Amino acid sequence: MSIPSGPIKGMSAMNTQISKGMPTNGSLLKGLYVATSGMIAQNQRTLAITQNIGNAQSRPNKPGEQPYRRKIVIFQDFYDTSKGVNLVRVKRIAYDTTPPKKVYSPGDPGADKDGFVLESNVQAVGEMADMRDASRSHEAATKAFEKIIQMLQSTIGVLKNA
Amino acid sequence: MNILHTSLTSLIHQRLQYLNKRSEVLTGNIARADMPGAKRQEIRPFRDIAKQKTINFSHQDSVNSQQYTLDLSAKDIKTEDKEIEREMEIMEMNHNTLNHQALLDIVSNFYKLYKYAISRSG
Repeated sequence: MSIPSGPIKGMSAMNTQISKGMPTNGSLLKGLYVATSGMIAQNQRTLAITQNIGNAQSRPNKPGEQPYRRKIVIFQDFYDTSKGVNLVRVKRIAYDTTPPKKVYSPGDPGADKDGFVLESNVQAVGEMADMRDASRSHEAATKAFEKIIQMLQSTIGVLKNA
Repeated sequence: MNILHTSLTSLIHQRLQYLNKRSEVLTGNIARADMPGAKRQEIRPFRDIAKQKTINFSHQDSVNSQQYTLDLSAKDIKTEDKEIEREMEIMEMNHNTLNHQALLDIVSNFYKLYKYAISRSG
């Protein structure tokens, strides 16, 4: 599965909602955009980490083939002119340049004439730490989102009772 | 005289606008926390902005809507020379929400007072 990069497609639902008549100049709504972009970026990061963990033991099928390389998600801050706010997105997926591990496994179909096979350069423990970090970042963005919703609800509550 | 447009309601309105903008800035910090080299951003204190914008309360009973608008520009947001810490940002966000809630409580009490006054006079 490939990781999408570039424009944030996950925000289309919110875009549609806003284009139906909700004002776009409100800072609270902009805050919702920012929080959502952060959550989407962290989702994409989690996806890359999951791929890394899944391929931690990957080996090539034939001798001479390169094994799976660890993916690194690079974030980018960009100004969305249509919403007038700075958002975060995945700029690109980079590949870790650490050389692959060389494991002695003569019976492996990917082993060379000396019996060595190249294994992915993923360190599962490091990936788990990254996963936890991504999870905490996602949680932080979710909390910010909830706080903004709370502020909006309070405002609407006051106006309703006025 | 318009009882809904007083210097106090104007100030509350501007403070609410300020808090809304601050929530956007803080959320931006949280979203950018994992970007390498990202620095924390913070909006200038409300007191400073209010002073600079020279809020004019002399026409406090005017129905001029401009009086209620706090024009916050990019200049009002400064980039600090420190890294973003998610926990600190969440704490600031909670603080911001509490301030917002407190202001809304004041607004709500205002409306209650007006309602009471109207009901008593009617």
